[in-house]
Amino acid sequence: MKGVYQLTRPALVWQLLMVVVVMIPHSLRLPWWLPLMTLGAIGWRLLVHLGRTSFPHWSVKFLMAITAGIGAVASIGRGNGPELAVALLVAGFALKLLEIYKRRDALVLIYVAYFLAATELLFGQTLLHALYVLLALLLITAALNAVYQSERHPDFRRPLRAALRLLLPALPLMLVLFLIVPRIGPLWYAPMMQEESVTGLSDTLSPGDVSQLTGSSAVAFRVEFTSGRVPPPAQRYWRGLTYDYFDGRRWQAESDRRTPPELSDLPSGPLLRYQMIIEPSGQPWVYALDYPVSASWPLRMAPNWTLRAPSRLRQRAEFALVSRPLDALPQALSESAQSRYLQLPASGNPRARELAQRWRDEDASVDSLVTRTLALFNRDFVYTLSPPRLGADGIDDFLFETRRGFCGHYASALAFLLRAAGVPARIVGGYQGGEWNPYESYLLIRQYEAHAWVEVWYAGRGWVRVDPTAAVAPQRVEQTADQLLADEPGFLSDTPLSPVRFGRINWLNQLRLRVEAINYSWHRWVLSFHLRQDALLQRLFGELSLWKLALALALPFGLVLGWVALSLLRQRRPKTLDKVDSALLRLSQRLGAQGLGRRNGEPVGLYAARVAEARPELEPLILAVARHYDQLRYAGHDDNAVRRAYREAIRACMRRL
Amino acid sequence: MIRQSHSRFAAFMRAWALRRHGPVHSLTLTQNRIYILPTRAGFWFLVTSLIILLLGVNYENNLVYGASFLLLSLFVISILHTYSNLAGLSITALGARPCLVGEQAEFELLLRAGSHRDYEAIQLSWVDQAPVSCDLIGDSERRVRLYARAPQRGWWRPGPLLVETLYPLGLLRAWTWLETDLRALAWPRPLPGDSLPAGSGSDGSGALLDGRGSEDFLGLEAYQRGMSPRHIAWKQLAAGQGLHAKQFGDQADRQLWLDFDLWPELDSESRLSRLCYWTLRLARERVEYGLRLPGVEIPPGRGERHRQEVLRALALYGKGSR
Amino acid sequence: MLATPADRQQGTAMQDKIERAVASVSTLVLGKDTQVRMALTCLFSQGHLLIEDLPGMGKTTLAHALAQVLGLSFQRVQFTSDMLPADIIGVSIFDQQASAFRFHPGPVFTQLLLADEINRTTPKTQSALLEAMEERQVTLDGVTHPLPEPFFVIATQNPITQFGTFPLPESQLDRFLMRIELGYPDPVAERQLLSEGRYRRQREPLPVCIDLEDLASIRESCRQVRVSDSLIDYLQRLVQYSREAPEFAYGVSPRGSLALLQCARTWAYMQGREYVVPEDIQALLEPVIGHRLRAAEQVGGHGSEALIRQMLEQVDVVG
Repeated sequence: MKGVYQLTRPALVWQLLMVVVVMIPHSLRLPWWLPLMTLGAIGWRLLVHLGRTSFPHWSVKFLMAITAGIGAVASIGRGNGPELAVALLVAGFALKLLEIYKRRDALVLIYVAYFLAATELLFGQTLLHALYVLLALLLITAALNAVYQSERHPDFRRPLRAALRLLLPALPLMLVLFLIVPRIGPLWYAPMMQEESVTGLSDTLSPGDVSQLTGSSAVAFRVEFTSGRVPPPAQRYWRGLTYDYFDGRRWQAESDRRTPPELSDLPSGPLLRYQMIIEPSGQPWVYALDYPVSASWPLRMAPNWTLRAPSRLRQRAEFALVSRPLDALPQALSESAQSRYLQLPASGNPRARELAQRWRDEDASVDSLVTRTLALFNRDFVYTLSPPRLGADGIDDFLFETRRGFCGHYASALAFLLRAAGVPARIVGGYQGGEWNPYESYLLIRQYEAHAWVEVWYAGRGWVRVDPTAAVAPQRVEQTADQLLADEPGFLSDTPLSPVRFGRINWLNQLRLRVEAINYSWHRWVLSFHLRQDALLQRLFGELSLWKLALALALPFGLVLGWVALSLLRQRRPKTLDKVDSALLRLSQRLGAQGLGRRNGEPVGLYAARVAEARPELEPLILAVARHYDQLRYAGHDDNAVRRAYREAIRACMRRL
Repeated sequence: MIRQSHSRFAAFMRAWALRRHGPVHSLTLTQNRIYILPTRAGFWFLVTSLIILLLGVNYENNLVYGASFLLLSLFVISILHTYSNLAGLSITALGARPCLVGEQAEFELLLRAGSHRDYEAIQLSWVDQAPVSCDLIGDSERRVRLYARAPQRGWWRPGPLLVETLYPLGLLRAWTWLETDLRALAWPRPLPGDSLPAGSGSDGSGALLDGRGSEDFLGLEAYQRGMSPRHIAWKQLAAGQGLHAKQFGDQADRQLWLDFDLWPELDSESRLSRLCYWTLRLARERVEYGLRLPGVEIPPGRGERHRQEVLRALALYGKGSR
Repeated sequence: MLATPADRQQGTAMQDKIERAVASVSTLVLGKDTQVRMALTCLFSQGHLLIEDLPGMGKTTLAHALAQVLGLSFQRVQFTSDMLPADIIGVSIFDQQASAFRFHPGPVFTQLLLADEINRTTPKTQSALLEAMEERQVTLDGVTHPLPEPFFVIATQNPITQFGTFPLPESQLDRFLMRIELGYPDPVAERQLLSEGRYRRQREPLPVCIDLEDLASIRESCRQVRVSDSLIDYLQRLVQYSREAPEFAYGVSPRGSLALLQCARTWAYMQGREYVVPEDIQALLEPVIGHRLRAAEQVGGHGSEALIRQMLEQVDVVG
């Protein structure tokens, strides 16, 4: 019969610690009462341990379980599978705390803790998240070890040491498995996790929208150029979508008709190939430099020559893109398309319409219309992130009253004027700029670099990009946004302590870039590793074969396990000898070849006498060795002269052998 | 059903393991002795890791893949740790204390650490007996006492010794069986009897008296230096006859004989049990007693050594010397 | 510390005296040179000596001869089973003339007491003697009587396997600094013994070779003998081994290791050396440690001698 194991106090403490560590990140997401319940359970269990109260009756636990279950369903809703599952697990986890008394209960709790710690990675995948989960796994392992540690020697720190000794060698093994084990696609449809907040361009543009984005320094996407030179800042226009329809207040994105682009060839020219890792935006748009010519599956090209993912991006995604830098997109415009890009509401903004009409009457060429508008903007308009509110006729107000605004205002005003003058135009939403990271050679585009500009259709040339903001604030295009906007009150208002704010402090900026670089590598090599695995393995091992993979798995495993086994089973080495003793040892080894080695426990004096008897010719020398040895070791005459004499005697002895 | 087949498997394994190696006095555990297999808890740990792996597969989450791989690696590493928690340990059978049939005999084993390593949470048990947990943390050897119920009179062996450990994570169980050369002597189960029948004393004075023999004056001898002044014959000294010392001799005839034939109405096992009862009682009352069994005669005596001798004769009666 | 030439001179003079003492004793106790030296070492180290051997090996002769060469007053007590403590330490007897109790000192009041066959007497009497040995005084009826200075006890005992003995308990054995065995004489010595026809009787008292003054000076010099760190390391390894090895029921006590060091100093001094070497420790390990150790039960058949030899082979001098 096996004994009933009652948990020791360190084991219990480790369990509670483990529960707290596992719960902390989850509790930020869960309904507020779940962490409270867990805390209550911890408190109760502690009181039980102190003998202040007893374990709850089963009916109490049953009632609590039912309540927690209903509560979780009610406050999260059944639609959100993973989150609900985690909440229910956490509830069970907390309630199980009230049961841990024996080893078996503790094991249930610990295994669930392992699982909960891993699920945390579904909700956040930064390097910090990963480190935190690693820490949690360490503590859980310590808790598991504490359950099995000796009851006679309960100790709080030993489990942690044991867990470290177990986990550290497990890390390289994990790495090998991570590299080698092939990734397979999802086995069944799993509902996506709800992102905490997605930021990005929306499918409508009212001239205030972009300002929300300028408040955020969140990453929009990262780009690594695989061929072709990196375009200068002024050329970095990342096109995402076009706003075609204006209802008087807002511009709306083109309706997504699944017709292929009307133009098949682009003029030849150099190509830019690049790899893009795009953060979840909740929108299907993928941002490409002007103008994309091909893209990796499953992206497709929309009629307005922008790229679309098949569904909204709710997880980080990576695409390979190819663009060809062009001045204009030579696209013919059909009747219907023409009317679409000339669309304006029937009424509203009368002063703007009147201005457009007047300009058109004076000179109908597209060029002159564009030039006049930009000249107007250039005259006394001010670029600001905190413009005054606009009234019902927003374009009029902006053009003739406030004259303050940012890209959205300028783009919509320009597009409005052109359309009113009968020139097809559309607003393009996307990002402009990007920060070059020299450490990992990639471009980082943040939300505050969101931008809106205008494409104007020239008969014979096609669509030509016109950025009215550049006319007002050319720095916006040539410098990075953070350099330009740092003093604007609206800039980065969401993240007051963002390191981007301190970009002008040089070393801090470098540090920030380095952190960014690490993040980028993290994204590329860990979070999107499944996209890169095949290529990497092929580069490492050439043509892949089963036996090569098996070898790649077995060899590091063998090495690590061998090393661990050796360190575990190795005899503790004897104390290292000092020079005096090691010289003696050498002599004894030499003599040992002739059966005259010093026996264990034999004093040097007796040994010397034995040698002298067996080898009379060595007598004076070996006796001198013993005499000097005794002088050094026991008589306290440890000075250089004696040492030298000792070494001399040993050497002389060796020579005679 | 499963449990039954499991225990049958365990018995088979034990028999196989023990067939490979004979009884030993002292043994250092090495790889050909140590068996290691996952426990049920280890199985559930693997299941947990695989569920996490499934999570990683379905959400294409490389970090979750990593967490699962880490747990699997942990399992692999813990194989070595569990194994090394037995490897190099040496076990020496020190000895056993005799006991009465039906009581727990005490066996003493010595555990010694191989090199200067720590061993933690090692369980020792005889087959089907409660395990004893012990550690070698910080010290290199430890004596362990194990108990087993004595089944019958005479020499007996406690059966194979199971040495096992679950440390450090309980995912695996490393164990070994060994047959020690330990044997314990079981004395007959005492059978109380009210009084010692008449005729048990050698000279008819069979009453239980105060065990201290009285002293009889034998004569005088010349006093020598170093003799006890208590023995000085003051009367003779006062009479001017010089210094003499009295000589005393112990009377050595108040003895009891415990005889196999005292209780003709009992069968021979019961007689031994009855004799055992009286041996224990007389030893407690410090009476001199001797033992007569067919073919065995132990002259009367006192003291622990005598008692052991008598009890041993009772235990081994009719069993041969082994 | 280096001895000055004068010290050295004095030292060698003293060593000559010691050699003479050894030689004198050896005229009576034939062929037991080492044992005689050990006995002297014990006495110079201010310890009591236990001689264990079968009857007729010359234990008494040795004790008597030592008393003579050291010029000490000597008493011999033959222990028997009916002895009382008073027989050793003395009694207070009512003196009718003085009408008061008068203390009659027992044989213990002497400089060198030979306690013959100490294991023949009862534990009570044994402990009375051993207490006197330890405290170097006797307390009776509330009065403390100091023992003479110096005070040595040479106790002899039969091996405990002999019948009718009360073996000394371990705690009491610990009070003896050394335990030596005389053993059978070697063939040469025995032949000499036999040719002289009988156990050599003392024809004339042995000359006093070392007087009390010398004794004090020897003790002082022994304290100066150097003990190096390496030697202490070695001693510690030995002690540690005795505490860890399963062959021993228990290891050497701190008192035991101190005794060993003290004897080793004297031994080194008697060899005319100013420092202790491992050889000294090894020579004295058996006599000083042997009676303080007990073999574990399972190691049957080995005497402490074999165990100590094993200990010396297991623990290296170097390292």
